Amino acid sequence: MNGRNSTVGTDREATAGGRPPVVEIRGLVKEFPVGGLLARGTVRALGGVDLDVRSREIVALVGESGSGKSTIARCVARLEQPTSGTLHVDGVDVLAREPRRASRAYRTKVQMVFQDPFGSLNPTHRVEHFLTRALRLHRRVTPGAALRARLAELMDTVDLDHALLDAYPHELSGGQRQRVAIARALAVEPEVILADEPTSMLDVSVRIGILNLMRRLRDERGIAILYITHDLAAARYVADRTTVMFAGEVVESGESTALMADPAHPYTRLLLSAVPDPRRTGTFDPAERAALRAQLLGTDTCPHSRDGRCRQDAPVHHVVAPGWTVRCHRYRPHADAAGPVLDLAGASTAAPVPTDQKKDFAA
Amino acid sequence: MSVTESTSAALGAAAGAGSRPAPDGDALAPASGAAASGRAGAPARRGLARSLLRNRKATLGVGILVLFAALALLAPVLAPGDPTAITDTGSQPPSGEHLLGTTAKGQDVLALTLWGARSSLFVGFLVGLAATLVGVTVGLAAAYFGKVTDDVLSLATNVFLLLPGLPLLVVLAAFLPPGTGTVVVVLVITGWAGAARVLRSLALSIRAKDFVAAATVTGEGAGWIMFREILPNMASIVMSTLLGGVIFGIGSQAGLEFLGLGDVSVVSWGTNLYWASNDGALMVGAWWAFLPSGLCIALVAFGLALLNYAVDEVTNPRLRVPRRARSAARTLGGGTMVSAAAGTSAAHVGDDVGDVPVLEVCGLTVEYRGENRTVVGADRVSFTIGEGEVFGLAGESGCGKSTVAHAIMRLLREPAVITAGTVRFCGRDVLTMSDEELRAFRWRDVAMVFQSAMNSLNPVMTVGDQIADIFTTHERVSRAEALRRAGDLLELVQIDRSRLRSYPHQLSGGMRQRVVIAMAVALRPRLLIMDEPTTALDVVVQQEIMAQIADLRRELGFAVLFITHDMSLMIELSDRIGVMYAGRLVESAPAPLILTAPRHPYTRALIDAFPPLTGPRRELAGLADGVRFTDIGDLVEVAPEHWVAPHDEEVSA
Repeated sequence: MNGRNSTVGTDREATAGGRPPVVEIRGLVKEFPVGGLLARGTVRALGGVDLDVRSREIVALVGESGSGKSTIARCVARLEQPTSGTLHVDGVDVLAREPRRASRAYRTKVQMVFQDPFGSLNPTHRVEHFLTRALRLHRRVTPGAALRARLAELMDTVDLDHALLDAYPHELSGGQRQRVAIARALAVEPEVILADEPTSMLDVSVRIGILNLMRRLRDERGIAILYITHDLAAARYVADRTTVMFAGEVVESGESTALMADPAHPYTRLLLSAVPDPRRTGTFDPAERAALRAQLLGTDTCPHSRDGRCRQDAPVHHVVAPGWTVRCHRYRPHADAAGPVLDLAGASTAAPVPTDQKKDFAA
Repeated sequence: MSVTESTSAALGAAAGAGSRPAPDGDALAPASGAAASGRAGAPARRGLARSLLRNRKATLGVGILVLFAALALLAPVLAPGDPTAITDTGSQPPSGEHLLGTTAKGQDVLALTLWGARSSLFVGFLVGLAATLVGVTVGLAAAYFGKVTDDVLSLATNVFLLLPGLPLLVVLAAFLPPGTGTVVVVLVITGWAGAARVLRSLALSIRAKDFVAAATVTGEGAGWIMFREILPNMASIVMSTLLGGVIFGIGSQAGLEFLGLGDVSVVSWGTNLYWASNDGALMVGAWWAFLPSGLCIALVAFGLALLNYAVDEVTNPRLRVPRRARSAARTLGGGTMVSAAAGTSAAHVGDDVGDVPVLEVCGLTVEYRGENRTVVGADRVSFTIGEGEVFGLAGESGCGKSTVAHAIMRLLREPAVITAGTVRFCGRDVLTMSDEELRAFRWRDVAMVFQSAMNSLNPVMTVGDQIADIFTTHERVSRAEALRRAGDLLELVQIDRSRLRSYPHQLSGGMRQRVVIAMAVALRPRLLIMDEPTTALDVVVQQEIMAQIADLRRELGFAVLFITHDMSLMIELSDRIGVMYAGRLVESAPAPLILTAPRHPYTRALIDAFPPLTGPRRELAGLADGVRFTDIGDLVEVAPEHWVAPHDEEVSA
């Protein structure tokens, strides 16, 4: 195996040097129909999401279940049809060019790894089948000796024994299965891998291995990875940038360590405060955290909007620092918030764009 | 490849949990009922033919079918003469010359029966095949394409299902020109819809699986996905549909022809019966004229049904009874178990508690006895939990932590057997309790909250009734009093009293879990066992539940055995922690020591699996590839209250 890159990339530029994004999502809306013939309605899973993923970058999409993070991945994988919005991959407006179903050329660029390695590998096929099909469909290899060599190489990349090529999925452990799923995605030689909670169903001691593999793919192959997770600690460990979702909207997005060191959005703060981390000082004060939750989640949409303002008037994105945005009416740069606490219900939404890194909440 | 992965795989496979284990759950948990009853699901599929050969019902069924196929094929050789030849020796009973007698027209019944097998089996298998083929295609197309395709095909299927079968058969058969072909067409038209409906609903459930989405993302086309990804997973149902179709074909053909709606000049079992009836064989007591053909139909149907049942049995291991495992459990399990090795090898951990500890587990060994091999689920596990203490049991799937919890509650079922050790609750031996004592012990003394407990609430009973039941059953109080106390209990976990009238589906997952916890502590147990109580919940809800348990503990003062794989959560909540690996306890220490000074490399790997939220990002390795711990000894005290098991480290390629 290749030597592991020991730099973790704390100092990576959050904006990834202004490279054009491989995946560029703008105003993505997805509504699911609900109800029967008589009471038809829709549920809005995504309410206008903007998201960029650049090559050689891991972007973590975090949020609780039902926040819409998996829906984004399924829309980009073209497993779901977005209701509106645009999706550019490599600069191509894919929803305009391939409105009904994705072309194979698109599949060559975008691959996906699913959450459940027990469900994402057909139990009736051997490991070799999954990899061979991916190679054949995308004309990545000629049959014969070259195929065997490529299969071996793929198994090496994901740290699996070549002998497992002949195994059926049920003969593998969860971690091994997920490595097979990753190898299948890699066989296509994609530019982007959508990883939908790839470690959440694995044993804890093998999770780090999968995360390290993702980092290696980014560093050695320049693959862009959209990493969907509910695990903030894992997001911080592996992702260059982290985007936080709440109720189908992006509420905050920025460089992972900076964002988690000092979150600007109250929801991000709540999520972080709930993650058990015994190394953190002043840890686990249930009373305090319950109070924070009661305060933040008192309403049904924006955590901070007791006056319901977020429903009438969508908040704009404020830039906290270069590459770091937050979407909240209550966000004020530090200088503004230094004054007396104000009732901001009637305040202007025209928030200034601060250039300094200081920030705080007026509340 | 990492060896921990292979270890858990080996354990999982050995325990027979070939089907998917619960996420992060304990693969060896007795809840996985298929344990040791052979390999479930996917594994069975591969060896379907081989497994069938070993199944006695299948062998008998196949034997009958092969016999009849051979008789049909060899009819020209075996049959005594031309079956249609009319002679003057009519209505002869069985004799040396005519083994099965003759019909009223003097035809040899044996010859008729043998030749009849040809037409009947041919039509039966053709109808079965064709109806299954149409059913599979329609079912797959409806399930895969969905939307309009599904609407149209489902409508057609339902219309054909609603059409009364026999009258339609009669009408169609009367209007179409007589002949074997017509019979087949008529039977396929009336027979495909049932197959299509069953196969569509099965295909729909497979369609929703991730591997279909994965194939789509890989770039597979519709045809490939339908026939190469979905269809192989339906093999057993398709096969039983086919067998059912054959029975339907043979039976219906005989019925039609008996009514005279087929081509009566063809020799088949059905026409044999028709002529027997026409010639008045039933009235003159010439039983030999109709009995052979009728018996043949019944026998073939019997053979097909046997084979069909065997397919079900082989692909669904729950129908099979693990004979050896059951007998083993009878001798060693149950209430009469004698703990032979009790206390001999046990290292007592954390015996700083002055009085009798709430729970004292000593040298506990649990084995899963499979058909071919035995897997040790828990191996000489010893620990104690003091009054009001929170003891955490950490480890991964298959390490035996859930096995230990179930053993303490005496909830282990075959093929799991406690083979050694003792469990003492406040000094009382749990393993020798009678059923009566056990009933009082569970819930009143020790309560348990399972991982998916929130889904264990009865969906058709209100929350209030379910909680009140505990009081009316265990404390024999009045209904009104029970409901009042149920309300108090809900308020204890910060749920409004008015929710007593709610049904479980009207509560959120977090609320349901709190209801379950409230129910667990309803009788004020002295020990609460929590097996991954928050694994399925979001982090904010998880945190709330944990805060709730901390509050309850302050109020009620019970001790907790907390089982999870989440080291961060465990360290926050527990006083002391034991780490399990492959059934053995490898380290035990107060929680802060586990975090800051873990001694065992496996403990370190578990902690590493949860990256910190603060400080610089550094690369974590987890367990190095190929490391496995063997020969794990008993715990040795390496520092005050810090116990570590000596072990060998094996590094494989």
